[in-house]
Amino acid sequence: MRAGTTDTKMKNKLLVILTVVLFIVGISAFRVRGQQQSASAVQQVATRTDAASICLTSAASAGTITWTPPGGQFVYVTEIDFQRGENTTGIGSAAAPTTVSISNIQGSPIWDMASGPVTTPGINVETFTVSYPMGLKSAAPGTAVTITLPTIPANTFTRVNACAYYGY
Amino acid sequence: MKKSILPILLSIALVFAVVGVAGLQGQQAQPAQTVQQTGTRADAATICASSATTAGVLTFTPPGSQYFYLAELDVQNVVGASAVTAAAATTLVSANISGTPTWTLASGTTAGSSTQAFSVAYPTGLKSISPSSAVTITLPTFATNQVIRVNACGYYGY
Repeated sequence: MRAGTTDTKMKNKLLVILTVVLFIVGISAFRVRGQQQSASAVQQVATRTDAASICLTSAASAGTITWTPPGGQFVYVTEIDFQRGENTTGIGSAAAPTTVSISNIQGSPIWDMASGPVTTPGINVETFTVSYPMGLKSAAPGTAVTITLPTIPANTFTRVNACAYYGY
Repeated sequence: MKKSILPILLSIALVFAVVGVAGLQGQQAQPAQTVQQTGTRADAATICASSATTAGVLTFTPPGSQYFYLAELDVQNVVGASAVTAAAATTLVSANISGTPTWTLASGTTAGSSTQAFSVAYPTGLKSISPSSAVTITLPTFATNQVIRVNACGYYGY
């Protein structure tokens, strides 16, 4: 009779200990979960698949900038910037503006570049940037996008930089 | 009394521990989220229009009941081979955009010079007011020897 009572008391003690242990485990797990949730970052990984990853540049007369996407991908242009100015001597005479063109973009944007005023060496003629925050997607997949610079008048310069990425 | 409460408490503790630990495992097993899961952007600009015509109009006509989202607009205001006689400023005007953004352009003077060159970007798009209605951007009448180029790009969506 006494042995049975002792067994029951032991069992009860074990059950109490087990209960307390399980509560502690549960509380700990919930606390860790809470800490992990509150520490969540604004951006969980450092990879952006829509970041510009290919830039090209040209300052050649009638030069071209070409992106050739792999497979059936498109070109997403994110930014183009233009600098035009006069060198040491300056342009001999003012002329009609020339244009920078782009292919495989629906609507074919064109950018006009002033020739520069006569006898004003060393000046900046035209500098500007166009940016496409969400990307400017090419019209046909798997097809190159090409930006073509104008013929650059003597004693002047034109520089075009452009950045893009490939995607579906 | 003690006998009846202890199993209940034990059961609660067991469930509590299992739920807590399982949730923790689930959290750890979640894959890291990428900013963009594929290379496709449905909000990329897909259509552009361009004009260098006096009083020219850029028109974007959305299909069905869609809106036009303007993503970017750029202007080059230059003087041609001969000088421009200085005149009052003119304007580039949008339609079907709330608040009617309008851009003011100087006439320019010196032959071969650039009077203005600027770009306006809308990082989340500039949505038209009325669906299925065209958005237009109207160039001003040019002064003699003045050339204004306007490009605009955007996309159609709901």
